[in-house]
Amino acid sequence: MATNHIQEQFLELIKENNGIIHKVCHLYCHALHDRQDLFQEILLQLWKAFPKFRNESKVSTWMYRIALNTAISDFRKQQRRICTVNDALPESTDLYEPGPAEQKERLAAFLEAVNRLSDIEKAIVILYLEEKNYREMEEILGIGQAGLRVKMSRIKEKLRRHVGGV
Amino acid sequence: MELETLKEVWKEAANKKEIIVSGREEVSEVPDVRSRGLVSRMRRNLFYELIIVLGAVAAIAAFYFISFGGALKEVSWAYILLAVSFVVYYYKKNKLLKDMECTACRVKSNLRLQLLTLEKYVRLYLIAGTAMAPVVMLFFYILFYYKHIVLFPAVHARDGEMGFTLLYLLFTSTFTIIFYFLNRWYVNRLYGRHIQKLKSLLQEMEE
Repeated sequence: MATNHIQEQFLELIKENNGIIHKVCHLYCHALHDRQDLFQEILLQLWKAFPKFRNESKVSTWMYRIALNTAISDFRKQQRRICTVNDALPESTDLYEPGPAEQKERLAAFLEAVNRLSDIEKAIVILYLEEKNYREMEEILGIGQAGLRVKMSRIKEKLRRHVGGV
Repeated sequence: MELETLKEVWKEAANKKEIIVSGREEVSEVPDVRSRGLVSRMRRNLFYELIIVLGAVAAIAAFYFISFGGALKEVSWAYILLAVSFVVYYYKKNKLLKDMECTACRVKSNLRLQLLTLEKYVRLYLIAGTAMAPVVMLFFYILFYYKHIVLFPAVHARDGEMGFTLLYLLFTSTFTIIFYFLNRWYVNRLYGRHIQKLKSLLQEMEE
């Protein structure tokens, strides 16, 4: 009975916030099967950690920590997850269907550029796109705010070089 | 495309209805799913290793208790002792694996925790694996001594007990050194790349 109640609470939490998991999965792997694997693993880690969640931090902070920790630290899986950008992009850009063809093309170029970033840099990009401020980023990643600023400007520079005009 | 514009595209993606529906279906199955994460797999493999070792030791111990009219039952006891040591070793390794992950912690702390625990795990693996060689050799030395088994009669005849002991010590040392390097190579093959990756991630975060 108690387990069912916890399960329901968990279900509600995921229903409200599962976009976070999908975004992490999409940025760390683009092939559908591998993405599903990662999604399942993140859900499982969230489920395991859920009983200890005491609302001391924001739900999104808690979820990002678990999702990013799972995506970044499972290296063996990552080796399997390696996929070429060309294979991956159609699926990814479909998800983020922005409308006009030109915009879609720019988005594909952006995702290709993000794909070249390191795992840590990808995490920073996700949090930046989520409009997290540097304090929240520090809460999730554990990197000091000054370091984050430096990294962010380096990332922007890299993306600008790869895409142009970002 | 400006990064600011991308933020909007990003938000839209999160609100797509079909994503939420598929997520809901998957969530209800979660408690029954087995983790495919590295640490979970290591823990499962460790458990299978324990079962195999205990099964094998039970069979060998039973064999030496029954065979040779019980004349070599000391071998059985030695194997049982080995099994007990293995249970302690299993407990320590399992505890380290349990402590290896803190997914709700900050990413950097979690990576540092993984690195430190994995290094301890590897050290334990290496020490236990290497220590096994001299322990086994010592056991056989004691067995030969008490059972009056003369292993190399020519050496005994020429150099006596002391000569044989020195030769045995030399052989044990060589065997242990070889075993140490074999273990180090194997442990590095298993976890070396993982440790390097953790170090490079941490280094990148600290830069």
